[in-house]
Amino acid sequence: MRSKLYMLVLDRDSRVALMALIACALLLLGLIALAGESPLRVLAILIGDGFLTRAGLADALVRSIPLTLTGLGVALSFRAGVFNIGVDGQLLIGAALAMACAPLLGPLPSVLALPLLLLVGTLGGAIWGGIAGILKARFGANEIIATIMLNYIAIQMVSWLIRGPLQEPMGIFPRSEKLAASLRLPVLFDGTRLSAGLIVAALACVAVWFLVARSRYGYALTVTGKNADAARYGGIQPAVIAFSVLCLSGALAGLAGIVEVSGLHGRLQEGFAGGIGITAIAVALLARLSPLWVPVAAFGFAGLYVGSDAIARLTAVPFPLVHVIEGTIVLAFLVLQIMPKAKDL
Amino acid sequence: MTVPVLELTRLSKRYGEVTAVAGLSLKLEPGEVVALLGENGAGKSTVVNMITGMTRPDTGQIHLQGKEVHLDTPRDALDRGIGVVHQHYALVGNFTVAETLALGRAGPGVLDRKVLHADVRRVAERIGMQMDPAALVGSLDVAGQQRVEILKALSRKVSLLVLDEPTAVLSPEDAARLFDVVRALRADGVAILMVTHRLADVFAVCDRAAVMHSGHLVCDLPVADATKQGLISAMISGDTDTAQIPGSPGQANVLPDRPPTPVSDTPIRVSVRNLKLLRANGSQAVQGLGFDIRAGEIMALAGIDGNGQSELVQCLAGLNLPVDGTAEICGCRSDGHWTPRLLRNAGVAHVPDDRRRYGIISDLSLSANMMLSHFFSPRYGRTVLDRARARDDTRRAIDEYDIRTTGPDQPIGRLSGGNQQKLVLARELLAGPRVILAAHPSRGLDIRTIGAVQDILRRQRDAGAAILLVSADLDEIRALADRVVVLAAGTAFGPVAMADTDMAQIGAWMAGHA
Repeated sequence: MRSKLYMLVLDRDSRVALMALIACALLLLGLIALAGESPLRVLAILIGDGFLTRAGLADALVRSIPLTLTGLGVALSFRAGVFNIGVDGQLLIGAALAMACAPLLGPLPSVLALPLLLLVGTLGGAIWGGIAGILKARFGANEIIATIMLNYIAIQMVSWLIRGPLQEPMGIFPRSEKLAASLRLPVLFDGTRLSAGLIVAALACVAVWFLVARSRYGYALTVTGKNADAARYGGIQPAVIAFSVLCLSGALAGLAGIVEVSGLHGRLQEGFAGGIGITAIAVALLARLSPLWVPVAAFGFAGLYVGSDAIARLTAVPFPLVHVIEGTIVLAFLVLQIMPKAKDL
Repeated sequence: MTVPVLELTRLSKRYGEVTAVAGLSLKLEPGEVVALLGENGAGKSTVVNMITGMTRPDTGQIHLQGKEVHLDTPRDALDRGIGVVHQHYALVGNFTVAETLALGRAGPGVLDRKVLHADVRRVAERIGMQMDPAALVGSLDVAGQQRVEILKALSRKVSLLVLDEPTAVLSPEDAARLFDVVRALRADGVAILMVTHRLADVFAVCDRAAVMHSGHLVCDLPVADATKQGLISAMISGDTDTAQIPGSPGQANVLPDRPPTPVSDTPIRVSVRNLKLLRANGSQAVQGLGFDIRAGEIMALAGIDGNGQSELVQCLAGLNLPVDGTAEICGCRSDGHWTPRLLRNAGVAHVPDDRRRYGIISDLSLSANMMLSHFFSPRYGRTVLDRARARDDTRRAIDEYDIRTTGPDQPIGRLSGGNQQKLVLARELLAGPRVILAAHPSRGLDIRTIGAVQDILRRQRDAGAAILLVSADLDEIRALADRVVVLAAGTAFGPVAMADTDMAQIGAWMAGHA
């Protein structure tokens, strides 16, 4: 990669990322010992089941698809200094809007219907992100609060939709009807749940990388995130950037939502992608906001999730350990990013 | 013989190659008001910082009440009875006056507002100040906020009060009220060091005037013996002898031979009419400003910093709007569409005065910084960035301007200020601008580079650019300008052709003295 603008941004951040990982690993080992297990055995299971078996690997890849897409969205917005905490809501609205349009797309041939379905999902997420964007750009609202609040609205809306207009005809469970086969992302490998969503995520990585590292828009994002006054001086309008990046970030979350439904679950139900938004932040931070590292970080987290499942089955260490890891990583990042600033003072 | 409150002995401070303060000695007796005068960069701020514990002197001693002290932190200074009112206030807008004074001083537990309010009134009355302890700080005007800062300083036991440019943002009436407070403090035996650039302040309230020029104390004399002209010439040229001799037409007034002012039939590029601008804190920066700049002309905007120069340049660059009057550049009008993007497209280049804030992005490379001003021109591509071209432009700038760097990929934050400034200049002049807003273009540069920058500006003028040169450096103005406007005390003097004025006149205007 010859993009030096991009490499230099990572310089100090990579050290921070590394230190965050080390701090996290140490804490993890301590916690496992506290839970009364041998840290070595637990680590062996975590890595063995999460990354080294065929089933574990496939599962990790399945889980890494939405994490990659949402992680890319978070990385984009964080680069611009805009903190999109509303990935969960944008993901839900994207999935819900796509599901609402699914009956219209059903009769079309799959080659046409599937991309359209994904497009509608993307649009849904973009709209939900765009609402927070308008609130920020037009009225100066804090995007963190706006996006968090919009999460709750989205959760309640989906909750209502799958009990009302979008509920399956049987009307028993609060869930939508299954998607028509023509609207499902095909499974890539027999015997796994790994869908063509993987390809979508890979394409998104390339597209976001291009946007960040090569395009004028990406330059404007970086400049705004690093020095909003200088951006204004150069003619860039930070408000426009904030709005557009929230739309883009939401779009990627919406895409993640419909890919999750079309590639994995087949229908909309409550909590089908709970907590992805927070993990996406950890993914983006660990990837140092670099689009090409996002899939790596996402895969790492996905493997941890799969491995933690196995740990919970086989040992006395409970599953929430993985949430502790996530929280530690985010916290370690915050602490390590504040520390050098404190020294400057 | 009383013990001096503050005695500075041969204080020196260097920053790298630059000597900010050189062997300065100064004494303040109890109840004495001393004005510390000087141009920008004369070293006044460094002296204040050393007295208030913000920076440590390299050599020399500070004695307080006869005892040598080492002030390592602002806290040390506060604890030893040195109060400061900085030019930029540190206040919490939605605290009341009483709460502000309790901040950092009240113990744990419940605030007893009655006691607090009584305290505020007592301190205020002692110096004859009107102050409502329950007023919200954010609701006060600039003068009111300054009074809160003074009260804040006085609510501790203070034997020395440092006022940093106290009148810079005040109206004449508010300044008069401030002087009453200063007189009351003097009667109380408090020594006051007043950093200022306004001669009116000196003669209104000060007992002694100390003038600094490039780090040296060039004169220190009772105000009764000083004259305006003398102080001006000491400030401008460091000329020590003339401070006391009234009306000496110093040699500094002789203008060098310069080419005749360019013909006045070139098109008007910049036009400013009856302009009124506000500072970020809402106080009035300048009003009734009007001038034109023609193609092929350098208009100098002279004046001590903080008299509205930044606001004017930012307005002309599209970063803020006037509250009254209009500005017009190359067909764009401030009452129509007026944005940095539009003005840049019209050919406006802007060398900002606050480089770290506006001019550069420290974390990004030189070549990434090169693109900042040309973001909306097709120079580096419409959608995909032409990084190779940016790197080529940067490499050429590095050669041409002799920028000390490892290459176009080095983060600009690692460069020295002077080298950063050179890149900013190179960037702004890259595309052959029609209008150049140059705010302190040679600040932080070494002598050789200053000469080069001045040559570049002259060449740009000869190539037909209209240039607004903001400077507080009279030598630079003399070397470059065709005409000059002086901003001081909220109003404008001029514009006047350089051929029709002299340095003494400009210096007097800069000191707010018509």
